[in-house]
Amino acid sequence: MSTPVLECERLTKSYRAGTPVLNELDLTIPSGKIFGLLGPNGCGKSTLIKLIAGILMPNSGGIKICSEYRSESSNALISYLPERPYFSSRMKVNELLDYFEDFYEDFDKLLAYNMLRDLKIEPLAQLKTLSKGTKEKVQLVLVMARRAKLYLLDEPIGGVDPAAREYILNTIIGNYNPEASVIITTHLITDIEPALDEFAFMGGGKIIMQGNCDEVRERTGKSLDMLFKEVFRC
Amino acid sequence: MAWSFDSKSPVSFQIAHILRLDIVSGKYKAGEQFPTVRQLASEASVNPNTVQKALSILENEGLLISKSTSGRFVTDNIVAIENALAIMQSEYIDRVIAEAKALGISKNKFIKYIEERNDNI
Amino acid sequence: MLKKCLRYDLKSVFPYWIFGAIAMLLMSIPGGLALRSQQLHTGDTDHFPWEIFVIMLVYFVGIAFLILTEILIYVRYYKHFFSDEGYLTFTLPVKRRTLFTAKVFNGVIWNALTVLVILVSVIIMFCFMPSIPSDTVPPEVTEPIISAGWIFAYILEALALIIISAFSSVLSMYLIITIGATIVRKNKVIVTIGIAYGASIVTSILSYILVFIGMLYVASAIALFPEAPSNLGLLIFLIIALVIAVSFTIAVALGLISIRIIERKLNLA
Repeated sequence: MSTPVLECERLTKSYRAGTPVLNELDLTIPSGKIFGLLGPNGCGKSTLIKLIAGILMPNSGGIKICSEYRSESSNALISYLPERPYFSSRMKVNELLDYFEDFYEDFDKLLAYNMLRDLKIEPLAQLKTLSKGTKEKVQLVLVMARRAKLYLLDEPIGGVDPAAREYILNTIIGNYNPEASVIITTHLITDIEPALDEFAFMGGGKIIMQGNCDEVRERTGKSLDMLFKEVFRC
Repeated sequence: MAWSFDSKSPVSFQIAHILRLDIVSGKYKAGEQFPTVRQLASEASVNPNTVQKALSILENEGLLISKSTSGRFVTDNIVAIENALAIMQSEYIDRVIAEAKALGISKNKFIKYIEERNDNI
Repeated sequence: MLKKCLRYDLKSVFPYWIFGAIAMLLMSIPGGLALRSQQLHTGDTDHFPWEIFVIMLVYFVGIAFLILTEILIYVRYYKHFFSDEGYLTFTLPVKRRTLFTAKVFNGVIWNALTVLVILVSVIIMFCFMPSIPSDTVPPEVTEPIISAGWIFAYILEALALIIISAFSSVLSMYLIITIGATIVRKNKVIVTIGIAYGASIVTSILSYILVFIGMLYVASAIALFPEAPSNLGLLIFLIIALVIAVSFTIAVALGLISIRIIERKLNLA
C-alpha cells in the first residue's frame, strides 16, 4: 500500500470567534485518485483547499503531504488552481511560463505550450488583455503542465463554456498518473462525476460521507447528483 | 466527444456494456489489439480507474485477454464472442417483451407488428 | 532561490524606476546651467532670477524621483505578498523568509541606486559651475581630519549610513505594511496610516533619547580622558559606527518580526 498523498488530521479553522468553518476534519486520500470534494456553498471546501495549499493557517490539526507535515517544500509537490486569477497582469503569457519553469522543477514547458496551442491562446499576449475565461484557461494550463503529486483544483469548470469544460476534464483525465491525485471542488456534479473515482461530501465542518462513485451507484442505484440532493436537501 | 451515461447503474457497468457491444458487433475483431485504459478514458472522458473496472468485467467474462507487456486483446475464442452476442440478444429481447407487456401488447399482436414493420425498415 | 526571487523583484521595479532616473539625470543639465548662470550673475540686479525656478524644478524632480522609488518598492511588497498575487507567491516552493529577504534587498538596492543617481546629478550640476564656493565647513575642523586620514573612513561610513538608513526605512515600512495587511481586521488603511504616524513619533523620541545618551557618553569620556578630544577623528568615527550598529540591529529585529508574522499569521482570504 503506497503512502497516501494527503492526510488531514483533526483540522480546525475558524475565521473569527464563532462556529468554526472546519471542525476537527479528518480526510485521507491515497495516490492515483481523482477525488471530488463536494458540498453546498459556504461549507468550507475552498477553505480546506487553501489550508492544504498553505495560504491559510489552521487553528489546530495537521496536514501531511506524502507523509511529511506541510511546509514550503510541500509546495513543490502541490499544484494549486485557485478560483481567482493570481498573476500580475503586466506579465505576458510566455513570461509566466518561464517563471513557472524557473521555480518548479516538475514544470513541463513543452506540454504547456501545446495546451496553449490547443486552446488557441497567443503566448505573446499580455495577461491584462485577455478575457476572464481565457485567464482561467491560462491558469489551468500552468497548473496541469506540472508533474505534481497533488493537484488542487478549486472550481475549475464553473466559469467556462461547455467546450472548454470538456477540454479541462479531458486534460485532467489525460494527465492521470497513479502516483498522483487530483482534488476537485465543484458545483457541477453531473459534469464531473464520470471523471471522478472517489468523492467526499462536506458538511458542518467535517467530512460526512466518503466513497467510490461507482460503488455508490451499485449499492444505491443513485448517481452522485441524486445522492447529493438527498443528503443536502433544503 | 464524451460518452453519455444514464444516472442509474454504475458507470463501469455501462462502459462494459458499450465495449461488449463493440466486440460482439465486430468493431473489434477476434484476436485484435484492444485500446488501452488511457485511450478509452480519454475518448469517453471517464476516470481511468472506472475504465479499468469495466475492462476487468470483460476479462472475467472471457471476452478480453490481458497479455502482460503487450496489453489487452480481444479473445481468439470465436465461440465465446458468439455466446456473448447470444446473451446480449436474448437480454435485449427480454427487455422489449417486458416493455411490450407493460404497454398491453399481446403475443400475437406483437408478432404481427414485427412482421408488418420489419419489411418497411 | 534568493537570487531568483530578487531577480524577479528587480525586474518588476526597473521599467518604472528607469523613467525617474533618466528624468533626474536629464534635469541636471538645465539645473547645472542655472547654477552656472546664477553664480555668473550674482549682484546683477537687472537680471531676472529665472535660475531659482529651474533649481526648484530640479529639486522637485528629485523629490518626485525619491517618492517614485519608495512607491515602487512598497507597492511591489504589498502586491506580491498580500494581494491576489500572494496566491502564487506563497505556493512557490520557496521559504517565506527567503521571499522576504529578497524584498529587503530589493528595497535597499533601489533606494541606494536612487541616492546614487541623485548624487551623480548633483555632481553633474556642480560641474557646470565656474568655481565651487568654499564657505561651507571651517578649515580648522577639516584639516586635522583630512591630515589624519580619517576622511577615507568617513567616506566609508557615509556609504554605510546611506545603506543602513535605506535598510531601516525599508524594514520599518515592510513591518507596518505587514501588520496592516495581516493582523488588522477593520479599517486597514486608517490603522496602517495610524501605525506609520505613531511609529515615526516613537522613532523620533527614541532617537532623541539615543542622541542624549550618546552625548552624555561623549561628555563623560572627555571628562575621564582629557587627552581624548585631540583624537577627535577617532571619536567621530566611533560615534557614527555606534549609530550604524544600533540602527542595523533594530532594523534586523523589525525584519524578524515581519518574517514571523508572515510565517505564522498569514491568512489570504
